[in-house]
Amino acid sequence: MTDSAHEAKRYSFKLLSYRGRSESELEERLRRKGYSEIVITAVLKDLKQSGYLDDAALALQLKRIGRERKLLGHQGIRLFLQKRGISDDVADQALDYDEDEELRSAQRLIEKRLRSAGSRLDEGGKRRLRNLMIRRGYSFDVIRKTMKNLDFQEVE
Amino acid sequence: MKKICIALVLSILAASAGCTKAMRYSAEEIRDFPPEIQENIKNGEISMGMTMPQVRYAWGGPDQVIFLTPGEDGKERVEWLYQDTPLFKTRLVFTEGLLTGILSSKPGSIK
Repeated sequence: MTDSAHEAKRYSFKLLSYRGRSESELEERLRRKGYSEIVITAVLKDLKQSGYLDDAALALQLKRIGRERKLLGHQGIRLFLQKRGISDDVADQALDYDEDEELRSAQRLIEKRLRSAGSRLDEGGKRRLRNLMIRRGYSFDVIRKTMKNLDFQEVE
Repeated sequence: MKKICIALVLSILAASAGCTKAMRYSAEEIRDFPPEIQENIKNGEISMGMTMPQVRYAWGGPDQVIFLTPGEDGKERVEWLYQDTPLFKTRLVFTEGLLTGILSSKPGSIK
């Protein structure tokens, strides 16, 4: 390995230590740092072979972050993975649709919003909440079902 | 002054004890690891021989990464530094990607 490749590998190693990165994200960072294509290709290959660069593992990690921390719907998680440079094939393998899971996540998002809105929503608040759920990638079916529950809670 | 110092130390300890960290893994993320490693990760513990990704699942990413000069055998060594509070600092040394050294002032985290 040349000095430049050695340096690029160290730089990549450092980036990968702090948090997981996809192959395309790392490639972009190395390119911005000015390493040649030959060096970038060699380093990426080396890191993939040694298991430090693993898009499939990262996809599972991002799926968890999208679902638990960002409270995204199924399509929202897919978009999140895409933005982080995960290919469609890898994303397909990581994401399996589970409506119950999406309903639970939607419910958590609503509860969070209700807490900040003082547990009551007027018509405008409901519309904003619905729009937020659309932006977060929830299916219309899930939005309808959870909003229906919300109406029920208010009548109670 | 003494009272202020005691209050400061107590508040730091209370803050560090009360912090609930988000889950760093899901079952499917760690399912391919050996059972004892999975157990370590679930308990938020680390042990010698763990890889960097395994340590990250158990403890999260480090606050600082330092490249050490290679040992006499020429093997590459990297140090991960964790500083949860001003009181506790942990240094992990990886040799060729495997955890080979732990130096910690944080009790109960090492198996």
